[in-house]
Amino acid sequence: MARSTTALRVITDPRPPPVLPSAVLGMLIFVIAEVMLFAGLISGFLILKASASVLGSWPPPGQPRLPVEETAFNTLALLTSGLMLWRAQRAFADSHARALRPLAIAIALGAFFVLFQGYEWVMMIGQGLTLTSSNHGSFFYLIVGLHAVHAVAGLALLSWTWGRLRGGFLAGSSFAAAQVFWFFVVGLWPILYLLVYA
Amino acid sequence: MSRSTLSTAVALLCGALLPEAATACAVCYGGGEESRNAFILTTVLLSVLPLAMIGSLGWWIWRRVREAEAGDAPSRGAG
Repeated sequence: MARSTTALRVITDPRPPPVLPSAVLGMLIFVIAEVMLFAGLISGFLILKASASVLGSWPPPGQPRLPVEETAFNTLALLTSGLMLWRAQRAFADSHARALRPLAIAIALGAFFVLFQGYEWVMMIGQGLTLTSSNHGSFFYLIVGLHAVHAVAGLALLSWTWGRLRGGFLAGSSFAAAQVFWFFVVGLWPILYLLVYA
Repeated sequence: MSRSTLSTAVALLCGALLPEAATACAVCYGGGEESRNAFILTTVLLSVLPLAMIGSLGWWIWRRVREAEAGDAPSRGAG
């Protein structure tokens, strides 16, 4: 009776590692496209705001005031989330297990940001600011809502990253790509806050 | 200069001055300085931003490649 034997061969790649992992490069290109999407919306909003300001009617009459102070607090939560992700990245370089806690805090703070935004939206709709109530409302929900969609996608990505890290099989390049996306979400928000809320 | 020629010249002159105050297109309903500045600013932003981002990314990758090559060179020489 013939016995089959399986030979295990270790294949090593003689090529040097890439200067930039494909996951990170792909995410950077995606983020560049997203930046242009937001730049287009911001441009439209700025022109509308400037044109309406000439007529002395910005924000449009009868529209509620945006919650500037509450959102400033929420902005702080999101910035802290970015800071915790940066700490997770530093911890990841030393020991993968040590990155779990700061990454979990970053996800929790990001989730808080999204939930608080949702609460604010409910309040604003209750006060009469809707997608169709004015140009102000249309741009507010479009720009802030699009950012919220990105924040939710980023949270899903970070949660997936956390699960892989906990299981002990997270690739450094995957973590770096997730960081690029979340830093984009965090970095974009203060710009939107200053332009839309101020 | 006849009276009709003078009237025509004045009308043309007024017509030439009008576009400054008129709106340029149907959507530009605010013809003020602030509105014009917003158009210029956003045009510059949308023109320069993609070039700046792609250029920065390309430059950064090029620097990393050069650093990697510089790091490899001594070991290749020694080997």
